[in-house]
Amino acid sequence: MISKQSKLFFEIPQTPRNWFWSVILFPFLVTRAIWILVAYFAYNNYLPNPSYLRYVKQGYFLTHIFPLDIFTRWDSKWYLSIIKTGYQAFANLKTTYSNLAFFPLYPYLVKSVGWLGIQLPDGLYIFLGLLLSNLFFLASAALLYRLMISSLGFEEDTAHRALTLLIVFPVSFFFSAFYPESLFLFLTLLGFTFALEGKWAWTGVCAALVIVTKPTGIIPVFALAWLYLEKKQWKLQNIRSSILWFLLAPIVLLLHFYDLYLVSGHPLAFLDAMTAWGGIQPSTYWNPFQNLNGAGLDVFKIDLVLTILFLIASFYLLWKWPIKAYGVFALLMILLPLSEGLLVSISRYLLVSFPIFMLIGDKLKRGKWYDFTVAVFFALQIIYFAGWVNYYWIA
Amino acid sequence: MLIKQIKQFLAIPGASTNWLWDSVLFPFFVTRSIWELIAYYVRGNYLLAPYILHKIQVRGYFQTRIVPLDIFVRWDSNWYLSIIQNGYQAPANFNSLGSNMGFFPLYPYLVKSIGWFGVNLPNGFYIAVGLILSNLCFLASAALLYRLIVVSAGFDESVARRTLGLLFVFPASFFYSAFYPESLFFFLALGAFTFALQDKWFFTGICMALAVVTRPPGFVLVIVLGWLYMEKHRWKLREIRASALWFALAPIALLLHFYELYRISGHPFAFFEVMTAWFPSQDSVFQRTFQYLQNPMLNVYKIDFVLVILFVSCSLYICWKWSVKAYGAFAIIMCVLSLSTGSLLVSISREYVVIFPVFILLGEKLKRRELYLSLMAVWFALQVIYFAGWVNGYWIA
Repeated sequence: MISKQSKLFFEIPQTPRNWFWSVILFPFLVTRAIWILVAYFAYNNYLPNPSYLRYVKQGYFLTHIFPLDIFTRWDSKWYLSIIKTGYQAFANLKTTYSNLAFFPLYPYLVKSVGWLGIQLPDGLYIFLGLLLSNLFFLASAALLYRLMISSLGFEEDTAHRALTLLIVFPVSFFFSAFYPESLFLFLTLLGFTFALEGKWAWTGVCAALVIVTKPTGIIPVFALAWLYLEKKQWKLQNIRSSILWFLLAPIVLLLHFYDLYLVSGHPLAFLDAMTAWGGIQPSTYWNPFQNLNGAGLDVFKIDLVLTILFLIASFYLLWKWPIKAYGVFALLMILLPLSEGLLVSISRYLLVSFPIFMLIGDKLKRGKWYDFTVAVFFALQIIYFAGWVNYYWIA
Repeated sequence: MLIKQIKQFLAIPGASTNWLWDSVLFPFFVTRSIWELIAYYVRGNYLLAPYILHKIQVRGYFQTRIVPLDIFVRWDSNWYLSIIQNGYQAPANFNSLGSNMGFFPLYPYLVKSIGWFGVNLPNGFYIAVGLILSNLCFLASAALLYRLIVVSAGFDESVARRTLGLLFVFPASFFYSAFYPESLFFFLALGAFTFALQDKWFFTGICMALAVVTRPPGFVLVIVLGWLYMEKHRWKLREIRASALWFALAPIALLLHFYELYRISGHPFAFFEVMTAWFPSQDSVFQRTFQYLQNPMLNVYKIDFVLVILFVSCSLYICWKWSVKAYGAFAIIMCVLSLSTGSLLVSISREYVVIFPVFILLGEKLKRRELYLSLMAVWFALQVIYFAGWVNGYWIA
């Protein structure tokens, strides 16, 4: 039964038989092999971020296994802490960094897969987390390819270009990191796929899962609800009981908040923890360009360029594409992260904005501009990954 | 007349009309734009190597305030710049000190001659002239190589396109745009081959004479094109004509250069003595190479080692299979010479960037798109990471 389903999934009319290999698996393997090569070179030859010398002296960040460890930096530590010790509250959540700001689905999935009733070494959790991340990314890529051709009617080459751009996007390595980005993309794409097929129960399940994957999970839920109403032509009389499946998402979110309340005694512990992390600062609104004051070229300036590009593309989607839910999703995926603190981690937030990749894949026909974009994205990816491995802040 | 010549040069039978833009100019501009982007990013965000840290911290640049130019000036560029500014200078002790006598004169002299107005000009001016020269020589070389592959060697245009693609993304390819003589040497080598294949031995002799005073491996051209001359004359002494005398230009030019060094230093073999000082303890070359490879870290030497295996294998294949043996002879001698001078595995990627027959062979053999794209991606990634290191003062090649 499953093999029949998967056969059906991979057989997309008017696509090459080996599309999964040529469009997804081959570039996936090549980029990952290159990242490992770059990591071995950059880690051993270039000086690391001096603020993180203790990890350099220690020789690793979270695990001794170098090819795995290079995919764990920054927030990975907080997700691992959720796996190892669960959520932990401190006296003053608003001023002390805590893992309460991070959402549970990814670490809980890693823990559930790796759970054998005993305390497992970090390396095993990392391995399972990375395995999940990579599998979710491969599944996401296949879903996106299928969605573009089967559901949206794009040509095969357009889907091919969109996926190439996604794979070489500067921060695409987060899809293979100990981060929940690939799970988020997978659930979002699956939600959209089910929604386009009118399978609202499954859409509701995806929405409920994505909302506890990342704080921005509320955006795909909103966009999917928008898509529901679009499909019902915005007429109240067309709405059926299937809309109730959308209630799953807020219920699951409230359950998570209740869990945090049990741990911390604060019903809105998540928002308090976000404050400690620097999110939602009033000063952002008074001085929205504070991160652009640096003299040199830095991630914030590159993020600004990407933000402008994605913003324009989002408006175009809203204006031109018949299904507005894509534009709504893309636009909110820019505006919400922007409102949390200008241009911090923005490229990582933009990474999962799949409608933009579809649009760029559609508009950038094969030729010089497409080649140029792929080359620039890939070069930035390499230099970002070298920085990431050496503990520099990227996204 | 000149325009007609250029038009004739660009009109390659069987090639697309816009080949110059598609295969030469476009990838040239894309790679250079990317290098500028990378340079601006890494110099402000990642730590500089100790070699460059002090200079950059104190005055904000390495040799010129103009950052887009300054990023192409590192390591040996200083020695070429010193030849331009002060001419050759003999060291007090030939055995212990590095000196600019280890570097050949054509590139710095050309830069100086173009930039010479009778006054002492600022570094930035010479650097700008040098970089323009490097880039123009590389563009001309790329066009010559394309033409050579399609017209003289008789390959498909797709082979030429792939060859140039690989050349552009080769890890050390940024040396073609640096304040280094690699692109001038490449241009002269390709010019010499092109003329030799057309039996224009006078111009071949001129190119060789210039190449031998551009970089130390210049004399390899004299050997392999001498070989080609003999191949073309079926190795029969009675078929040799007076045209063979043009080969004498190269040793004359080299001797003139050595004579100049002798006048300055009083040592007839000043160049060789200085080279010894650059690479002391020659007898421990193998020992040091073993140390480089034994080091648990992945470093340029290990990547160079992989390149050596690839290039030597390809060179042997070319020697064995290609009908014009001069290509294989050039490739194998360049490979071995780079290994035998100085220290094994030092600067290999830079030395190998000019071994064009290997690029042609790879362009010919890598017909499978996936293999070609994989190699392109790996080389381009290495180029990006190497260039980032180069800009921040790390040793690359």
